[in-house]
Amino acid sequence: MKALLERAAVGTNADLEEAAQAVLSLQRDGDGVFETKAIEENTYQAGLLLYPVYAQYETKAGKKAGYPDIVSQLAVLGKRLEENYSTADAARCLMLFADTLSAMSPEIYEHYRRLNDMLRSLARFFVEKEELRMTQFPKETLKTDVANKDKEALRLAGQAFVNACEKGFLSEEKYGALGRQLMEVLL
Amino acid sequence: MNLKFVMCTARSASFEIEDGGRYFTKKKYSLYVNGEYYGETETTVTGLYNLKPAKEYAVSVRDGEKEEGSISFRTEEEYVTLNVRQFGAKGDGVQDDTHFIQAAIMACPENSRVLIPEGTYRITSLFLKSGLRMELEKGAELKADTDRSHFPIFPPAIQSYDEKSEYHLGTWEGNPLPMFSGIICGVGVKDVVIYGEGVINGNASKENWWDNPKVMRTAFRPRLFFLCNSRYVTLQGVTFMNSPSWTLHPFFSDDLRFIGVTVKNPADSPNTDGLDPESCKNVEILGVRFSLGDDCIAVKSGKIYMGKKYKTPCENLNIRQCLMENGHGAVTVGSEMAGGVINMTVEDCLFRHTDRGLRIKTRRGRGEDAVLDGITFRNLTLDNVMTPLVVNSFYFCDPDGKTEYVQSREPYPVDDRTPSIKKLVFENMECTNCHVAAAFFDGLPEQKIEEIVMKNIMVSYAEEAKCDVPAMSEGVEKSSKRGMFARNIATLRLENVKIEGQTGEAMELIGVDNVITEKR
Repeated sequence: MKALLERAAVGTNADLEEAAQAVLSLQRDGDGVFETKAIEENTYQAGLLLYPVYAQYETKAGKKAGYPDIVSQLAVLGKRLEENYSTADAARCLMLFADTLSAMSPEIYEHYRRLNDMLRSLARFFVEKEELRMTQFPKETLKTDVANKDKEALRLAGQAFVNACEKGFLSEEKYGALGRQLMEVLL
Repeated sequence: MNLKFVMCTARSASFEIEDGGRYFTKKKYSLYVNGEYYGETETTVTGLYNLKPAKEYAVSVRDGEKEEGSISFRTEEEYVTLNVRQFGAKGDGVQDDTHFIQAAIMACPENSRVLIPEGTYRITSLFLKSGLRMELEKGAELKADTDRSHFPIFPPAIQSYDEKSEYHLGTWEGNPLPMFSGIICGVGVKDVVIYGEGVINGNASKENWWDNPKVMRTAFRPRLFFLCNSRYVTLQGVTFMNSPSWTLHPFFSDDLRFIGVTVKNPADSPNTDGLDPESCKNVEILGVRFSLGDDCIAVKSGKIYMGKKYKTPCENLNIRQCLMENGHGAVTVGSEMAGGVINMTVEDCLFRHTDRGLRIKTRRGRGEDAVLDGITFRNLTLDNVMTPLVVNSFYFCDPDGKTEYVQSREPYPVDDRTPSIKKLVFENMECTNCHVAAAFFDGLPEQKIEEIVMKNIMVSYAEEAKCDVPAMSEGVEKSSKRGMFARNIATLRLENVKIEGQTGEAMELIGVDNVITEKR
């Protein structure tokens, strides 16, 4: 399944269709979220492969009927972070939200917007939780801020911020500089 | 016969001839202004131009030698006139005159006018200013550029710094999406009048804006006239034509008047609705003539995001003495009506050669704030309208429009996505040369249309009636000379409803809880 999803992300419409059918046949838990252990042990890591492909399929071929399902599942995943937080999962979730949003069309605006709002909310939550200062500050200060933290995760979060700002999903003023500095400091 | 004063500026006026006509007067009249012959009129709403400021006028309307009515008024004061040519506009159809005209607009003091004299003025977007009076003389044409790289973009839903609110500069089909600025654009303006006998020409064609019209390229197509968060704006007399998309689009704007305006777009032009008030309050549409490629008037209040967030219906609309021809719907509500539409009256109008007269378009997913109530159609003449009355709760719009959720005729649970239709009143309507069906009312099974009142309605059919679908949703068969179809209505009141010449039953009623027939 993992290979199928990786191929679908960059492959043909037939690859996408095949991957989408596999996704839709996945079991779900009590909250309606896909069971993804067969793809990756970590739910958010699996989600990074799965949800953007699902969204891409719905955008291109599925009449976007699956958008409510996608956004509802991601809302549950976001909510679970509040109860069971880790820097790594939060960073993955930021990237997951941004990548999925990139694969959606704003023409079904209410779902697109809900996911965008979720991304903004998660970004705020992440910065607060990690106690990252969001003003333009010298690199040395940031190095201190991240000294004892999960650097790989923070680098991923930085990448997520940069990607999201480029697409207009997050405020460039608030998250763009922070994202670039995180990536630079942690490279 | 009565004459009713409508409005005036320093240089123009409009009045209404009440002789029983609908858009057109019953006969041609001669007009005399302060004793001098002015011209002829055949329209109930008549405009006068080339008047002088601060002057008393007496207008006499005559049928031959006999005075049928008279009216007096005084024009407004005027301080100065700013002629755009003096600002450098050439009006030669070659130079881009945008900056020069914009300079005149921004420099115009209170109680004054910007004058656009005869000539063809190339423009991109012109931005209005509060207090502006702008006149387009007869023979003046503002002709739009068609290179999209020359137009400003209005970004969608600009977030506030604290991320708690957002700033909207319009919508595309009810959603905050990037759009090019309107060709004539008013953002946050008050007390503006644009008037005259001139033309605002969007210059759109299949070689430019109408090529691949559904695809967003950089941004969605501009409106010909766009208002955002504005108040007390009047358009009088001007002709709007060849719009890139919706022609007149006031958005979250109140106290608007459209008097004696003409809207003309080719019958095959895409999405060139005539006048689409979106979440506006107190709108008067009087004596307007529409001939175009989509709905003549389409009353809107956003799709589900905007409807749910701002809960701003379109409210208190009065549409009178208008002529709607060649469009899809004469007066349409929706499909983007998630904020609701309340209190709309359509009276004394003439609809001809449109697909539908009243057309209500809604669907599951528009939301619980999508409430339609207080909609009245009265004293109307419909000729060669394919289906006079259509209420379609399964309109297959939007990318998910053909999904099971939207199209199923089985009841779904009523939830926060379910729209509702309350009271619709149809009175004194003569519908001749119909083609497809007399009426097609299709309500949701889980939330029926509350009440439809039909009184003094006459429907007859064209001899060679065309065959088509009466409503755009799945599972609706094509028909010709069909009677009235009514499904999922709580109360249907009928008084003197005559349908003659139909194929099959005059009325097919399914899921109608109460049918009350009043006897005359």
